[in-house]
Amino acid sequence: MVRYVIRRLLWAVVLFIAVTVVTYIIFFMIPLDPAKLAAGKSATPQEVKAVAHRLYLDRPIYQQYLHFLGQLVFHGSLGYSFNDRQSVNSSIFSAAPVTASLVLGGAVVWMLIAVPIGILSALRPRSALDRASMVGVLCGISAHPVWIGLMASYIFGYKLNLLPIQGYCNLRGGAAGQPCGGPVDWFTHMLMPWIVFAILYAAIYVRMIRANVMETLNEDYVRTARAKGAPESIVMRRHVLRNAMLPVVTMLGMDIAIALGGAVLIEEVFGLPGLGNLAIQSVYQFDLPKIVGVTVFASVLVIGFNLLVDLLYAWIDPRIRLA
Amino acid sequence: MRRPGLWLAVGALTAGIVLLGAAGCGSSSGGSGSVGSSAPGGQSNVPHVNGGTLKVAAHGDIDFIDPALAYYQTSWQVEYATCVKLLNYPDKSGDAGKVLTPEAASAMPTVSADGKTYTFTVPAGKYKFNTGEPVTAATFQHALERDLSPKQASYFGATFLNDIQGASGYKGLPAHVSGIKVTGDKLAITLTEKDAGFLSKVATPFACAIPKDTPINSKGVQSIAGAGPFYIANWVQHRSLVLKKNPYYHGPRPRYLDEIDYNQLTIDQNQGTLELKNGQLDYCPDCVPGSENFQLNQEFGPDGTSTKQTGNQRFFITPAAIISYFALNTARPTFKNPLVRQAVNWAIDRPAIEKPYGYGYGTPGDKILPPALPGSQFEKSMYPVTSPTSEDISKAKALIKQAGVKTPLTAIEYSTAGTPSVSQGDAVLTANLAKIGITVKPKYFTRALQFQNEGTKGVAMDIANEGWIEDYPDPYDFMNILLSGENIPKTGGNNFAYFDVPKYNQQMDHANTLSGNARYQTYGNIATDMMKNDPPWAPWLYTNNIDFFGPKVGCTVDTPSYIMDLTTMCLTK
Amino acid sequence: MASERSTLVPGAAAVGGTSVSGEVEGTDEAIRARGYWEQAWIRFKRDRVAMASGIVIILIVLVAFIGAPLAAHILGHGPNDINSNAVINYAPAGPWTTVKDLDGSGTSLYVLGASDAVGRDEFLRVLSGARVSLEVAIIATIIGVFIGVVLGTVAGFYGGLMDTVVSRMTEIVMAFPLLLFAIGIAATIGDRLNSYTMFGIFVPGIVTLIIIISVFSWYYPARIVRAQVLSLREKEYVEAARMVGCSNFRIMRSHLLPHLVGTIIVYGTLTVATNILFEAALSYLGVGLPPPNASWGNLLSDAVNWYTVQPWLIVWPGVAILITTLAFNLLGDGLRDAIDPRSTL
Repeated sequence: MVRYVIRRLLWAVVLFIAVTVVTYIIFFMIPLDPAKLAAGKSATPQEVKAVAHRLYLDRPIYQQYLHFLGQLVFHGSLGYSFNDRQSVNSSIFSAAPVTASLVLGGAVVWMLIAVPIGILSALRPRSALDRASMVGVLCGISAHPVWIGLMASYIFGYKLNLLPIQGYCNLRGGAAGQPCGGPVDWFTHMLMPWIVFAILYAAIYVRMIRANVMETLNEDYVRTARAKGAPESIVMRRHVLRNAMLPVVTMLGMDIAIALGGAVLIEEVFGLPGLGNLAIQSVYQFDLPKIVGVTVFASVLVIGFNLLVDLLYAWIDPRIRLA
Repeated sequence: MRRPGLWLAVGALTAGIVLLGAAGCGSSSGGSGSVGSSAPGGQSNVPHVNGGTLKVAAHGDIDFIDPALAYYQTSWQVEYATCVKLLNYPDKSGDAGKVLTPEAASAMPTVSADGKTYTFTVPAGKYKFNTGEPVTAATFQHALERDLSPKQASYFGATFLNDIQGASGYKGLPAHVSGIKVTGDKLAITLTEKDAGFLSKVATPFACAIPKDTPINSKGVQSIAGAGPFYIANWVQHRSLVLKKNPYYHGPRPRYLDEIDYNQLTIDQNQGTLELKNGQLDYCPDCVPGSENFQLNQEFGPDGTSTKQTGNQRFFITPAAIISYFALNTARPTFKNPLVRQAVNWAIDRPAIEKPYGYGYGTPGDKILPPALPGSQFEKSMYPVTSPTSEDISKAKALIKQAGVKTPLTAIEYSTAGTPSVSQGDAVLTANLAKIGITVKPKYFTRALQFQNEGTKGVAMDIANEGWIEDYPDPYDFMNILLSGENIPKTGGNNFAYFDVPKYNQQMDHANTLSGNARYQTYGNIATDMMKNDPPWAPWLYTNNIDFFGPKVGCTVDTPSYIMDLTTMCLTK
Repeated sequence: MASERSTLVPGAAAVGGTSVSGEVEGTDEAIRARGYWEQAWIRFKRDRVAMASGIVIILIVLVAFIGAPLAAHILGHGPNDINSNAVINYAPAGPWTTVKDLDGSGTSLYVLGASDAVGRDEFLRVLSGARVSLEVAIIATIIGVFIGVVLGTVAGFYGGLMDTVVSRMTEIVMAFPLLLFAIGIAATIGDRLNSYTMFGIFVPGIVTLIIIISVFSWYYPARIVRAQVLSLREKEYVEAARMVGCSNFRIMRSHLLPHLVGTIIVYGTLTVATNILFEAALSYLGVGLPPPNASWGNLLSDAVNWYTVQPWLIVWPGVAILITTLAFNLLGDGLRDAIDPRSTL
């Protein structure tokens, strides 16, 4: 097991280099001059040259990449943004908790919705409940998440005044200029974003869990357990659920990456200053350090989660050997 | 300069970041005549309270609070409330707001005989920072030298102040720039050559008074004292900003509020408008999505249902010197012939192109110089600014025939991706030009790419869907910069019509040497001549600033240079 | 609808029937045993819901390719035709509005109202958008799922270096900045790609979308399939097949694949749904189908802006997407039940 983990970590290095190299390549393939953008549109050619020099953009691409690697490995720094000149590390570390709040809380909510509905649907396939729940969750996919968010804000925030319309409050108390802070404010502000976020993913998970549970219910060992006379609850808990949830674990690992993508729209609607926002802005501004910084961060997350998931999977299902 | 709101300079679509070009705004040479409409601004006589905290959110972001680096419109709006400058613009709307008046300087500067040296008298201690430190002539020397210091890497320093003697080659503190001299309370700035725009440049936030110990920091300082009516008490990048009343400010500028809290930056427009409606927010710059303009005006505009009840107008539409135009590429066969370009100007339906952007988005027009710009009063309008009649269309068709070109002509249009209003406007343009035998093929790019591609010489583009904000109120900024043949570099150009007519180049060069009324008149005549005979563009609109306030806001004034004035705002009873 | 329990041994995939000639004297009638696929088809036919879904999908396809031009012809205007008379107070006209034609020749009925501030017909745009969304979603799903299944099976089955390479590739794609990639493609080869219209079947601009979506669609099925194959390959029948001398390819195709079919179908149908939404997100970010053509994705994202002024606009593309995804999902369920021999229903 330990050898496996070490090997994975070594591969992680390779992967991380591959992703960042590809990012650099695509960035420089796009026919845009980042120095000109950073220098402002009134800049003369000499000024653009000066800016290019300051930002390292006048060196050959491989040299820029090595410089970036050096900064990262020896100083732990992801560089400085071309546009707002701040350290990318600080931008990412202040945005990450916001996105984490959204994604992790949202994941809890979507599991809370998806697991019961999925299981119930599987137990009574093709019943009215099953059909209704399917239509319900598919409605979630069919409407635009931004629209759902705006409507939720309008109804619960503006008309009914039950929840804040939008905005983010730090979990740990309010900063100056922030009218809110602390766990309660954090929770009330995140509630709608969580639900809207979950609506998007619940559909996929409901279907997946339903399919898995149905599949597992057909397995021989379930038939055996029932034949033995085990009560249904034991059958469900010990035999069906555990096996059915395995693939779901796999999915969760992957969905972290997708969640970062889906989080963008929710963050935009609800004004959450998270990574999704950061990622999109950095692309429109052609801000190479930020783009690469977010990519590095995402890689670390993806690698970490996938490793965790694979280990978990191997541990749970002894038949799987991690050659 | 790129335009705020819909036209995003370095395309940040969702976050709506706005880039404002530097250089001065406001002409000091006393342009005559009431050019363009003055902003209606301000509410009727609703009683106001002194003090209170204004709750603000911004759709755009604040890039820096370091005066040497700040560039976004939101940042400049804040700096207008926190800064003291040698010369400044009055807190008034319309033409009155464009007249440079002395602030930290006791009077307008005396100019030397050769026109190259400006001497300001800065009485020490007339203004004080919120720390108690007095503003002196040396304060401004420090501010300007910091802008010019290469280590500070300031855009302004590099681009606009480099005609100060000793600026190029300046290595930074502790050395001084040779062209900036302080003797007692006198500050003398010597230029390498005459510059009609110098006073405007010295009135930009780049020349704000800053404390003597403000360090050089190419990343931008994270906190700074202010000598204006307010100062920046706290700033969390991308999150919040707090302005507090400067206890040491005793100047003439108005001030009612105790505190202005920017609780949130980059708020979604729809959400911001909701919060303004129910009073959770008092003010939100650039927060109104075009689709809501009409309804908001019905309710909160000058004749709105709510306005009639409360007497407090909350929705404002104010003209700005921003133009939207279609540049017609004269370097390619489709629009080579001037008659074809005249035909385009007859055929396009300007109000219809405006419609998708929302009610009150702008004023349709056909002049190169926007009405708010001095010189515009001398340019004649000659094409239809309302929907073209059938005679107009026939005229257009006749011009095409006269040009002797084979129809249908193909026109490739470069436009901005990701904004439905823009593509809908293009649909109208396509329909308009189809009537006269021109087939428009739009191509969409993200804003930064669009801009870059259009500015590359030899690009396969016939129409550029573009806009331009004034850097400073002078026709040079629109005509020489955008239409002179001398301004066509290989890449990164702004002359998207690739317009290079020696006659006009010479005329524009000559006009730039004039001053006063003669200058504006000459530019106006050139523009008239261009549009009549050899139109490089089909201008279609001048944008308005649209503002919506919460229920408790009063005393609002929309200034020409810094949009809504934070210092005049008050809360109502 | 219950489907029969198959009498076939799990893991086998016999195709076609075998004849058994009658042993009863005098009877030469061959009683042909039903083949696997034949049985599957019979099961499917019995499933009324699945059949209905299949018919709905066929109808949607017909509407997309034939219905849309037909409706345009009947109503007298096209999906991209603007008409300022359909814009009332700067807002799109509501459903079932009769609009004066621009050339004064009469009136047109806007069945679902206008779709935007230049007065295009929402009904026609929804119909023509069907074609784009279906083409993009289905083709991208087929490509993505195909690649994903192949790579996932290979990775899970062979293990070792194969597995490592494929797994790492999925991680690379997962971590990769989608928007940068989308803009990169659009900026460089977008033009050339978008001009491929496959003899007019494709709407211009969808090739880029298909590529972008496929690239980001394959890793999901790959990982899931890999995880399943990892557990399946330890099963007894695989061992048995190996002992009998089956080649690896044969094992994968004949013994593993049938057990994956259920998963593939569920994922495939879900992926079609999410790809339609994916296209909507791309439109919202500015890298979707180039204007002025309509797709359900861009109709959806444009409708968001009108949510206070014309809330109906979100309903039409939303309902269209709902019906389509529902049909695909029900069809998928039905297919899975029909094909999967272990299915009890």
